Amino acid sequence: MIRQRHLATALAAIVAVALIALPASVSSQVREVPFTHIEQQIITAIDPAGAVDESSMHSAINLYDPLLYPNVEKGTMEPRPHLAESWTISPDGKTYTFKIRRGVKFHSGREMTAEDVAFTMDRVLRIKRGFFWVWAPVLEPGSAKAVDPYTVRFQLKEAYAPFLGTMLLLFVMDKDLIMANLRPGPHGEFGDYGASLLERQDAGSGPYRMEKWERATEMVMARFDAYWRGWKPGQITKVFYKTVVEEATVKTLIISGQADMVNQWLSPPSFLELKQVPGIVVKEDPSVQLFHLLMNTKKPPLDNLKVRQAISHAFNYDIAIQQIFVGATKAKGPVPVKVPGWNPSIVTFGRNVARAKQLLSEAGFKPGDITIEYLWITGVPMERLIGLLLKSNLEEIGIKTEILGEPWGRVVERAAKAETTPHITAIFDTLKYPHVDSHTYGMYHPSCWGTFRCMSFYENPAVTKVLEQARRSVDTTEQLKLYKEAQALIVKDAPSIYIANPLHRIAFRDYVKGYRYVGLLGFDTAFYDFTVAK
Amino acid sequence: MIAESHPAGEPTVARAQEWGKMWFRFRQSSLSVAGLGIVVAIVFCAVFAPVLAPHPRHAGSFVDFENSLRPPSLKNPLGTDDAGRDILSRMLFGARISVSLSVIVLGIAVAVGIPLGLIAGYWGGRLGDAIMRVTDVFLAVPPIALALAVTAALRPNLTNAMIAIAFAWWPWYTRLVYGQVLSLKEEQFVEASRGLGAGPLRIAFREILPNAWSTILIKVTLDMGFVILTASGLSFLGLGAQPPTAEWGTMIAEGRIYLPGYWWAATFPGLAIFMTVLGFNLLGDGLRDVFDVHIEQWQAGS
Repeated sequence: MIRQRHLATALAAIVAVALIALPASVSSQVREVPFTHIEQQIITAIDPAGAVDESSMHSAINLYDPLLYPNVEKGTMEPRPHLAESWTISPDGKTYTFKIRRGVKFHSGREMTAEDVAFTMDRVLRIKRGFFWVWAPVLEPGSAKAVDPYTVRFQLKEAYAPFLGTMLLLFVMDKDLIMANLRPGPHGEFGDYGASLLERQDAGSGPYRMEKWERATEMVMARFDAYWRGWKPGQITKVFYKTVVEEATVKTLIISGQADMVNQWLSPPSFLELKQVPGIVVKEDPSVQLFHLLMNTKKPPLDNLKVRQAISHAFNYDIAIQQIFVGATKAKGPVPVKVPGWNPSIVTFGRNVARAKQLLSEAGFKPGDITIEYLWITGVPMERLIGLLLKSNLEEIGIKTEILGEPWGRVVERAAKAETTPHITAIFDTLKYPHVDSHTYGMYHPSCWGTFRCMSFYENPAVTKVLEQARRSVDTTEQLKLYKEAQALIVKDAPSIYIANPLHRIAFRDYVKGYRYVGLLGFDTAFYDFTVAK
Repeated sequence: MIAESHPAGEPTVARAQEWGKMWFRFRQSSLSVAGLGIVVAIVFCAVFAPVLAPHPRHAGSFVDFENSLRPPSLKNPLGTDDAGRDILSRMLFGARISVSLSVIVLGIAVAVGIPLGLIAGYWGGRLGDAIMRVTDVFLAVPPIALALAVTAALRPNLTNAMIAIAFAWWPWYTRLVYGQVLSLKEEQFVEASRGLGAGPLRIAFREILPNAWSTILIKVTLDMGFVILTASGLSFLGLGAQPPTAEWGTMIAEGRIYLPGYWWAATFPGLAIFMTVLGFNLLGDGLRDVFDVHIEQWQAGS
């Protein structure tokens, strides 16, 4: 009762203050709404053509606009109109024509045209960084052409199933600004292609302009007044995007209220701790991420299918999902369960120690014969815990495990060759573009060997053929059937221990409204979507 | 009295009296005694870890995720870590690793550093110059930085961490012995044995070195703590012990992300390192007071 009375008094006070304050806020046009977001991963590239990791994507999504956008309003990742208002696809699946929205302003004040879109595409393909590999199989510089100021056409070498989805990754850049600021560089007439300019400022049309960037420390973004989607009261006007590495510090910052939102990379026990703090919301969503242990199929004894099957049977999935990930979904094959095109009829491995032992002896190994190396990325404590679990599970079937933690840079280095790649590597793999192709072709076609996504060095001619057919097929039903067939074939060969589609967690103060989990790399942290109701 | 009636026994008694005097001097400082107590306790823990630990299996590949991050209780006096393992048991086994590691590292440093220092100091010449210049180069780099560079080049594990630290540590002993030899070799007893016809090897190892032992012993005692600190530092950075090894630095690194809510995971291993370094430092200081002539004279004069 007493508490209720206090509440009533407080409410009355708020109403009174609001009544007095209202005319004032109307007269001063923009109420400043500052917002502090903490991220543990550093932004490696603010040039969208170089962005591949989550934090770099955050800068791209807030400073630039992609051609198409995931349909966050409907809660799906299907592409919806954004800078492009509409599009048509030729019957052979090789020509895509986009109508560009009129009246979109770059931060320089100039209107965006089809010319800028074509320029951006050429630039990514020539620089060969970031997501260029997504387009490299079907496009080359000059493939994208401006038909008129508001129409752009992409001419593909062959039909390419995930193409429309990849347009979410095409962040359109201001051609004039870049061309006026070229420095000498490796790209012939284009010099450095604006690389030095884009170290200092952005060339986008996004909701925020970059005010300040100190690598590995802080990025400050301020509202772009002439943004084409317009502004409502309560939307964030200034973003302080800070890099803080230590998990304990990150927690302290949000508990003390110095941060409004903190990133997803905290451990489950830390999120549990934050949940108990009044005023903090921990939002949990089933993610479209895959956590798996990649087995190097080119490294003995893992080149033996039976050994891989034995290991897959020895692992205790339930403990991993329930007690380490705390509330994840068991991964059913390489494609996360929530992704359209996932094959529900896949039969995955479950824990069966007797079967594991039998497989191992069928393969001709006695307990104690095998020692394998397990590699985890230092800074991702969950991978260490999974390693401890794997070690104790494999001990039961007589396989010894050496657990080794190395920084991300070393992991990428070791992934370059099958000989240097360890027996087993723990990887979190987020969907790169909204298509099942990302977690099939992108991980199991030999063309990807040498990257961290393909540390299995998987090779099965039948699968390679199906994947290539799937990519080229124009008929969506046929396409989906092929991708599903590929999934079933891949799982049978056990190139990975498919463990979990973990929950995506993020924490923010309860006055932050409008957060939506999208599932695609970085799109949930679009500050334009948030309002602050303090 | 006995000494007078049995002249042959005199040196033994004199030595016993000497030890007695030293022990008396050592006891004058309660801090030194506390240091000795801590060191004895830690070595005891290290030796009897399997007996003392309530859950000895938890130092190995045991996991129990259901009981992860439990606060201190009767079952787990210092709580459990993120894999549900008893922190007290792991800390006791951690003492084993820390103590044996620093004994091995200092053993290598002493075995390499002292002969080099003797050679450089007693024989001198070009060889001596060469040894000392190389030593200077090593001394110019802070030990932790040098050890980091070495472990980064090798595969990160406990053995390589040991090699790396020993690699960074021997020059200090070369420097120390070199200085001692330079001052001792002009002393009268050295002149005397030279006059009696002793060869250079005998003079270096039987006359000079025994007189430098007290200084070396103090340095070793003080260094025990610092080697443990350095090794834990390497493990903390992921360049030393690898999971599931129970090493104090690794335990702090693994537990620190759970601060402040699950404070026990990082705090207790941190305290263990703190106490160990403190113990060896106090003991080293105490030994210095006992052996150091200058301090004795100062005390007598005041």
